[in-house]
Amino acid sequence: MTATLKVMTVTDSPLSAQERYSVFPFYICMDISESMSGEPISAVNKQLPLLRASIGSDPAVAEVIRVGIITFSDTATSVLPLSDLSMVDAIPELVARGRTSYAAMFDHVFKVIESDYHASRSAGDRWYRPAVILISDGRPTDETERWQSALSRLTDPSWKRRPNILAFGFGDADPAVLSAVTSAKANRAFVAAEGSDPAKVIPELLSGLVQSIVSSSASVYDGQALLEAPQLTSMRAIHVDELD
Amino acid sequence: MRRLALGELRVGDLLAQGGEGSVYQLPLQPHLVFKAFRGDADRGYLDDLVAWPDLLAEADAEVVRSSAAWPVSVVAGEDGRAVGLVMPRAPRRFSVRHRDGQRRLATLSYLTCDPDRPARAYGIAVPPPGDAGRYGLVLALAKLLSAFDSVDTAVSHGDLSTKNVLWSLERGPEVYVIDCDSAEVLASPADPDVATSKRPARRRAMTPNWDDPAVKKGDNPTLESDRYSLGLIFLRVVGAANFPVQARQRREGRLNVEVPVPAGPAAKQLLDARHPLWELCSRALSVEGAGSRPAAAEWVEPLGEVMASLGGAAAPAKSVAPSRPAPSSRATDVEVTPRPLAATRVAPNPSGARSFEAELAIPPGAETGGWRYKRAPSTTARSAKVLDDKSLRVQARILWRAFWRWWAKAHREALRAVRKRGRKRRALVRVLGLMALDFALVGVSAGLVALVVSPITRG
Ligand SMILES: Nc1ncnc2c1ncn2[C@@H]1O[C@H](COP(=O)(O)OP(=O)(O)OP(=O)(O)O)[C@@H](O)[C@H]1O
Repeated sequence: MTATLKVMTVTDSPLSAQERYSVFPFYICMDISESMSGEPISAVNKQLPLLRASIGSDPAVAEVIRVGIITFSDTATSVLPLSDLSMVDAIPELVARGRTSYAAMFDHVFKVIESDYHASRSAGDRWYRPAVILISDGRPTDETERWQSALSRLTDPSWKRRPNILAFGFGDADPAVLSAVTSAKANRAFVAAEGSDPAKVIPELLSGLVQSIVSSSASVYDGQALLEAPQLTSMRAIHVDELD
Repeated sequence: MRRLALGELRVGDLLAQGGEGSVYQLPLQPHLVFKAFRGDADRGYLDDLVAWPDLLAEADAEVVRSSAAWPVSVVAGEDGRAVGLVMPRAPRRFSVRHRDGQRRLATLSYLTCDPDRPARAYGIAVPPPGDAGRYGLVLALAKLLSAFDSVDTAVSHGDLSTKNVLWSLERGPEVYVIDCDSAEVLASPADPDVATSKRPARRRAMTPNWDDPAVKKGDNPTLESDRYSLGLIFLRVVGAANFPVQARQRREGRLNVEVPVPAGPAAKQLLDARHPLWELCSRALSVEGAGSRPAAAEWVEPLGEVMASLGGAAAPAKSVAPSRPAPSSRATDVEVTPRPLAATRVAPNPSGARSFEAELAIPPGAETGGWRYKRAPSTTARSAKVLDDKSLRVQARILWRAFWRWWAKAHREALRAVRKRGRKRRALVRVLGLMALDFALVGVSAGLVALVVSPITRG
């Protein structure tokens, strides 16, 4: 079964502006906590340049896709601000350190979406609902209440720009947490088989994601953004029931 | 050699992976590539495909050789089943070199995206919208497609999308079409057995946003689909306007596009809404009239003329008689008309003058083809003042012509209505309305004449 995310434009569309393609923003949220150090983080660093090669180098894809990379550990940082990847010279190298604060990440994503949205609007870009892609190898190290309240602000239905979230976990990632992050929606959260080697999972995951993003650009040109979750042999969709 | 055994080939590095197979280099024949199919392939179909150019006149065969990666050999595995094809590799000039030094195939996307993007993002110069080079590329494609359609046993390519049509301006405008192995050899009345369309079809899905809305989901594209693609490519390459054309056609059943025409030597003829290219494009994109879309050959002459007046190196347009003349009926569901490029800056008026604003209007402020991209100093703003004056005049002329066209049509229809029996009342109201209008017109003209004449007579 393939998960397809239908994405509606965030704002209502005045007819005159409708003919310009809206852009589809992606935020890749990479867990860079201490446990990622060594092989996993170097696998990430090896794969991330694919973003530029696959998305940035194709004018048709680059035109409608925007990508930002956010890393989180104790704190969250935008290591790559939301960008048109054809204008990016290099993807910054990531260094692992610290703990795994989901709260810091959710708070940061909320703020970044809000400010990016307004910046894009005033530059004349219209948006599809942003997609947040969470990649984590651990469970939140902050208090449950703290990350949950940050999450509920990010996913508050009354917030017009709330993102669609996809979550991918390996290592110590907790299926129940990932399921909660994706509001227990079917085919939005995926985990690697227990005991599988992150350094093997990461390349497949990231290249699959890049492929998904590339394909989503075709749908943007068709006037309706669709994101299809990648088909991964090393990961399985979390059954929605696992939340309990 | 039309048939090769896999064992005879020395297969090199993987070049690219497509939906249906993998494309490899051949180190011993660098001008060729090997495409290995993922699934099963119908050997008879492939044999016919490889042999198809034999049916062509030499000149047309040469066009196909120079502008398409037409498969040259079927490759068979040990059990004799077809496992792939050998075909020419796109010549180097059909690629572009990005700033990072890497070469990539020169897909149409470099021409259909925001015209500023190739230079800013990749350091690649592309001709601006409306440039002779762009017309020349469409002309080159029209010539290839008319070669495809030059014999009774025609072929349809079936997926003329951005990544399958490569371009080069190095030796003048040229195109190079790849992915020809999904082409379909169409039945000819004389020789129905050659048709591959009778065989179980392989993949025949068109690329999203480059598809023919007249083809139902799951159905195979047709010769008419190639004709649609030519119209779409004309619209997008010449106008650099990557509109969601099909989405609109599916949603509304109608399409009304204005193509920006930049000032220049060809502007005068192109801004005439009756220029044959606009009619060709409307008919090509028609869904209702899908059966009477113009043959590619019909585009050759008008494109050649525009090229010539733009000073492009237009090869003298050899007028090819369309092999399947389509009845020259106007499209009723599609209207493609020209619009002076600078005009959007003069009248960024979204509410008023609706009849002359494109339905696919460029949002106010967009400089080039309907694209706006990060606020950057725009090169097109240079001589805005001069351009604006000229385009106002042009706009006025278009309005003036349109008015008289409407006037003539209204009178013709009123007359017809009066002559018809029954429903006299409505016809009479119409005639009275027109009489009132004509009266007013005469009044205004008389006033104008009086204004001019009275000072003369008095003086
Ligand atoms: N003749 C050729 N010369 C150079 N490169 C080629 C040629 N044919 C194919 N390629 C490369 O291989 C890729 C895939 O080829 P092609 O489009 O023929 O395969 P496909 O399986 O039909 O793919 P798709 O399903 O995407 O149409 C192309 O996009 C191109 O990069």
